[in-house]
Amino acid sequence: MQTETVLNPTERVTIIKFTPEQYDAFPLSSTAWLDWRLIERNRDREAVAHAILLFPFISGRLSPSRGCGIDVSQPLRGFFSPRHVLVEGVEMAPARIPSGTRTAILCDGSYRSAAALGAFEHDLAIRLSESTYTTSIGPRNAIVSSNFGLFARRDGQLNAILPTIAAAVLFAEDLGLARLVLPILELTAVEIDLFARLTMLLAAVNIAVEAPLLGVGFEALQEFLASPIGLATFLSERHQDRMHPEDLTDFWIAKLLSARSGGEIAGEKEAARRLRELHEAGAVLSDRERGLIMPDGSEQEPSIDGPTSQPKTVS
Amino acid sequence: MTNPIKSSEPADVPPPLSIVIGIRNWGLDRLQIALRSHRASDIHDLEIVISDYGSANCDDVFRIAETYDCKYIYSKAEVWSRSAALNAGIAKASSDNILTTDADIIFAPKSHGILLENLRQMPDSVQIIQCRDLPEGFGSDNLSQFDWHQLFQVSSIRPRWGMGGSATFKRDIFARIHGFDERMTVWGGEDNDFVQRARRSGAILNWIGDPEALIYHIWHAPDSRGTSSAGVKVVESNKKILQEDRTMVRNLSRSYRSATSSVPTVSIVIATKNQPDLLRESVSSCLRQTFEDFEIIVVDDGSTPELRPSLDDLDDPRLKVLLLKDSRGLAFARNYANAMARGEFIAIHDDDNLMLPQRLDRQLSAIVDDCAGSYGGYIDFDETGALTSNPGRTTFDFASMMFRSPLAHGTVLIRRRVLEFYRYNDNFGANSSHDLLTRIARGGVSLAHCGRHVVLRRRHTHKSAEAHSSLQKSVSGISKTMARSALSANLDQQYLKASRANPEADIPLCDFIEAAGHLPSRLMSKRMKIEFGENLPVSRNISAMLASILSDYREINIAFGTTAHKGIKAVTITAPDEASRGKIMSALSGAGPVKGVNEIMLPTVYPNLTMLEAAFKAKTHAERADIDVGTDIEGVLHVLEKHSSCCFLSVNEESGYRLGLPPLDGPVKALLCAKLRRFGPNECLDAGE
Repeated sequence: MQTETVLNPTERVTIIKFTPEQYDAFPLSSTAWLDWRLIERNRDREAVAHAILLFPFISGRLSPSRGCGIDVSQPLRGFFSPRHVLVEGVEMAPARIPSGTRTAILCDGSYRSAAALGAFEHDLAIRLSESTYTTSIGPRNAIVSSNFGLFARRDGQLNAILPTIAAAVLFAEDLGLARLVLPILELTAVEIDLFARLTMLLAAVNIAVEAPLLGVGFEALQEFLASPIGLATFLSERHQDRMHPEDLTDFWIAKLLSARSGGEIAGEKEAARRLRELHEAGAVLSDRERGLIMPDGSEQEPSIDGPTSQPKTVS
Repeated sequence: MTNPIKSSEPADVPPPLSIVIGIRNWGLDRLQIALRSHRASDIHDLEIVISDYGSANCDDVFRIAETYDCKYIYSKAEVWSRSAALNAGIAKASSDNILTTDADIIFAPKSHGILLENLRQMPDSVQIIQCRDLPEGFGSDNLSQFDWHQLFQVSSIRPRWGMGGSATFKRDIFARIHGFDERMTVWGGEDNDFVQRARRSGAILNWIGDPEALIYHIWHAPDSRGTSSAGVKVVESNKKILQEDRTMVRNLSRSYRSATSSVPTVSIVIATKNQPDLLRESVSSCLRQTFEDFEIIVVDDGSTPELRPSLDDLDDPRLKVLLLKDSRGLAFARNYANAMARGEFIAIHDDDNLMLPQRLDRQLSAIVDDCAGSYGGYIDFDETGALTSNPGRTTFDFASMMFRSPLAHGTVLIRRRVLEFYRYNDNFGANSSHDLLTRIARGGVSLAHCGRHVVLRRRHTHKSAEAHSSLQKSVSGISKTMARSALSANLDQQYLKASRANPEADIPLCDFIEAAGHLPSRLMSKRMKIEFGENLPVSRNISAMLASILSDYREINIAFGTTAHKGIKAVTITAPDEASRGKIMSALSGAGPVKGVNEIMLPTVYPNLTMLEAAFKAKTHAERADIDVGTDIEGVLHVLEKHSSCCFLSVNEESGYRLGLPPLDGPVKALLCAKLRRFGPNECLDAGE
């Protein structure tokens, strides 16, 4: 894959141009863009951001237009394992790799990011948005208008947030970022290795990545969630295509945890019922989240015969 | 046609991997060696499907399949096609993980496990193991035992010309690109072609680097492909497809549906509410698609009463009806349907529209290179059968979405993954589709125009439709404003200019005529066209005969000769039954020799093909400006035969006749107006000038 970072003619939008080669796949869109003008553009971070964004589509060769340093090329190759990816344009001469001081929480609009924002000290919260037409950057918040999300696989919390990580790496120097906090509660078996490789890759460009919620129990997580009303507002702001936050599994997971911690059995059952309905209607739940709606905490699929508002399938 | 001779019952737990081997009149000793290597794999519960594409010794192949506990399917075929054999085998395979290979390739024991592990890590991929060729002396006679160390030592690496004798992938990739291209006969190029299309559809090609993943090609004398003149032609033909065909989805006239194959290529999604009769008509039109590998998902957005009974007798396993007890609005229902869809593509369809039979075929064929979908033109129709062609614009992009509507939402066929990311905004009471398509265009997703009309769109005239329409306009205005407000004034002007430069798609007239034939039967009428051997001169007798026909059948279309020899060339009459047709024939055959009689179906509102063609060219359905012409048919026809190619006469309810004319050039129209004035008031013609 040949990749390049360019500014569009308005000089306001950063575009990642890419050209698939013989073994590469073609993404759903032929360009990736951010409504954000990059000021500082470090060569190595650019190459790393391209690799992370286009991770599902690269096979065979990665050729960033500005190349990369020798100390980044090895973790870049390792990042794609077990794919054998050649990295082209490797420069032997030493070069500066910037470093920052600030911590950013990368948000994906989930109850997990709501908990992360409550649980961990941070300087900045960053999220991508496909439905806003302009980027909003403030001292504490950055909402980045972008189509990067279209380049993600949806199977797993880490896969889904890779485009946001790629964006954060691109403007890490401009924003003085040193540490990225991911709102990940669990990883799929495939993602466990990927996370380790990602950590090595980001470390090579002076960026630490952490997933402090990883493995945290739901009870502990509940401590950091806002009240249901506060959470509804949080979710409404981040899911602008939804009229009701009640249509999100995130809302009912938070409700369920809140009811459980308060010993409200009826409330817990109701939340579990609504979660089951949403899951049967195609909403994706992780293994542990599915465990929340099993009567015995197992991870079996629930019965299709749901309550009355449950859609039925007939043929 | 595939005729399964033997197939085991589908297991409850699917096997981890289905190995599909295509074969025709092959060395059975090599096949047995290959099967032995698969059965010696570290993965024990592999399914092996032998797809026999017309072997003369099929009984022998069947016995070997039984010995090695393989599923065996047989297809009658005259010519060997590795593509068709593999497709037939995959359709019967039970696993979601598919390995296609040949009967002369042996696999080292760890290879299957490594393939599966790679596929687990890279689900959207085609996994390839580098093949090694065994030398002469390592043919079927010398491989009673596998000494893997020795085989590695003596073998040589096969360059990556093709896929090296195997390809491993998920079943959903097969559904997405619809199999190996069956136009490629014999063998050669089909693997490369499959992988190229898989890559364009988003799957990577991964050459496995694990040293324990090893496959070997058993030595045998080279085949004759490529040496005979017929063989050379096959090679050239396959090569041409590989190099020149940029489409992603193939074999559109074939179906690979089966009990074990669970991934449809397309999901047709329909959200509906309180329109049971229209929905039934709409769903029926979907079920008549020429491309068959689809499912239909209907989401009933809280209809009262429930609409399901209206679909009960459409007995088709591809149809699924989902019920939302409480109405949540169109956008919610569409998102709901999309979330339940399993097809690799989603065809958006409206509950009151009619899908033209070749819609899926044509739109899938239009997906070239890395396009994520396609769209087409549509034809508006109303309850009179009047038609208006809306071809749409050739380019779908952000500029066009902001300043004009280049496409109709109900004609879009798009990758499901795009709609997993971009959702309808259910805050919008109407026209969330415009907002959605604008965001998709801004995201840089390419959709191609298929160059055809793909749906008949029902035009509603009642008041609620008007109210809905004004709400739609308001929402699309908001959507456009949001998009434009983010641009500088200069860029806004550039986009406006670009949108104006986006030309209308050029859809052939024949497509419009063909589409008209798919209107509901109640809007169509059967016409009898009688063509005369020699043009009938306009005379008192002929006029009297036409008057007699008009008194019985109320209307008649008359075509005039265009050569120097004027007169009546043909007449077209609505003839409801056989008896009427007989009566008309006996009346007209007395007037002159009949050259031919054709029956044609036309929308009721159009008297003849010329008027239908005129509607296509005008891109609008204007009311016909009929004029009163009194009772002097002979006089009127004398005038018309000199200036018009045809005319339409009908009985005036008050007295005399009314005359309809095809579109005419201005000067001709003025001349006719002047000449016809003496036969009647001529108000309509005057007004039309």
